[in-house]
Amino acid sequence: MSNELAKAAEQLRVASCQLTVVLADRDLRRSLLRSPRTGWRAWWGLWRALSRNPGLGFAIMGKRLRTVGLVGTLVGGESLAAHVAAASLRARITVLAERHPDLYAEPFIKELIEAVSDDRQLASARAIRKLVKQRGGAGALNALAPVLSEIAGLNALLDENPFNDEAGWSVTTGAPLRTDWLFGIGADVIARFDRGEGRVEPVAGPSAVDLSGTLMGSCLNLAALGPGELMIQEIEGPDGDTRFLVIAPGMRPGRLSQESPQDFVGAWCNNLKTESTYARCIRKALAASEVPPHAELALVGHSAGGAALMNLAQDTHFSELYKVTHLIVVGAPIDTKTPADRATWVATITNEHDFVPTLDGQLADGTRELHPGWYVVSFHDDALAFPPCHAIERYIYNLTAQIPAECAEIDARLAPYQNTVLRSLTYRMYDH
Amino acid sequence: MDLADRLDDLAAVVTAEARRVAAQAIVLRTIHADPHLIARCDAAQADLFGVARLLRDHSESVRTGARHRPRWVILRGLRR
Repeated sequence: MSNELAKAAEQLRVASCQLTVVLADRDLRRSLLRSPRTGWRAWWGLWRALSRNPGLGFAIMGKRLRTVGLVGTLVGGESLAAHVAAASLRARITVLAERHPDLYAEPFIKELIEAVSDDRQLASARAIRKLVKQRGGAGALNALAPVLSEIAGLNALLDENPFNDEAGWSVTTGAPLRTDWLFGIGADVIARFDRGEGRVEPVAGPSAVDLSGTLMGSCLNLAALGPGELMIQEIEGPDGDTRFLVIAPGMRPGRLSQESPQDFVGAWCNNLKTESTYARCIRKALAASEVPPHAELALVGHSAGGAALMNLAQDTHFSELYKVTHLIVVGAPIDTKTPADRATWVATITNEHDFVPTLDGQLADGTRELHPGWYVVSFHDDALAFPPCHAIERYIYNLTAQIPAECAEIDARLAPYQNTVLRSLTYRMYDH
Repeated sequence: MDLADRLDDLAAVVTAEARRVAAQAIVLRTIHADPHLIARCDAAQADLFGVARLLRDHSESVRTGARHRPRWVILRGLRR
């Protein structure tokens, strides 16, 4: 039902958009002078159809119509399309709450969901305050993680701020997120802080490197890498062919903007944009490692590293230069993106109580199946709050203790990369 | 393109969108969605069909050149 509602909402939004185009049409305005009586009657009728409450509502889309839509939204009624989209998200929350009975067992979460659903913003703020007071900020995020994107999307659609509506639509339709959920700050604004062409320097790397070419081995290498580092392994496969394994770690704690792209700014850019300094650094590391054109690559990344690898995989130029055979991400927000090469095998591993993978507005194993061909591993682990629940060390524990069969399945897929490691190269990444 | 023809095109766009909204009302009914949403869809499509009719009247008015004369023009004619 939620998917049907989402599709209906999308159609109503298209109708709102087309009618906003008609309302702003230059020829319609010109015709008002030729026959004002009939002209104004038609124009006013269309304005009323879009602005009256309850009515169809305006659409804030595109550059030219943005002003018309914003004015119409501020002076007019609420958008019907947004309300249908909100109904879709409510249906999704209901399904997710059945899957996670602990959600409604917590009275403040129940209170928050109900307040957001009813567009009672003061009550929502009160419920969040109570939840944070009870569990702390990280604990609240951890508890809300299974429905975090839905709640944020609902709030974006129903609140009085028209600038963040696009984020609510991304959550509803599965389109890539381009703004933040709360204020509607665009990806370009955040990307201004992610300056630099990216630079890599070879470094000694960790003292103990796993040479197994397995998922677990890659995760151990992810944990062993130092701040700002990434690893490329040259492997002679069982068939004698040479292949390359790229291992990209996630964001490092510290200042918002650090000297390497493994910082908060870089993480947001990897999530919201398709190009980033991190992705450019990986390209440069591949060139520095003399990886030949058309070489087969397996990309394994954690958190922001996974998002950066997905950005590379979805780049057509990168896919023409190298053959990305595998993309395996752990705790990374990649669900709204798709590799350029349809043959790329994608696996995502997500703890449903880790909110980072939901930062793209989608849950890998949510109520909508965005990528039927992907190998999606989704599990519950609410023993630790954020950030420990998102750490690669915790995911290593999860792979061993909770999802060993899924880990073995991914290893079987990675068999062409499991033989002899010829070289293990570590690079330190810099923004400039 | 003639202005009246352009207005006919705009009327056609509004009609098409009214049909799209009507189709969504049917979808919402089929999945037993919130009755308020269905009622809003019904009201919106009725509004839009009305707007399409007004736009067609307007295009006809522009085509025949039937300009609305301001009242002072009519009064001046009577005085003569």
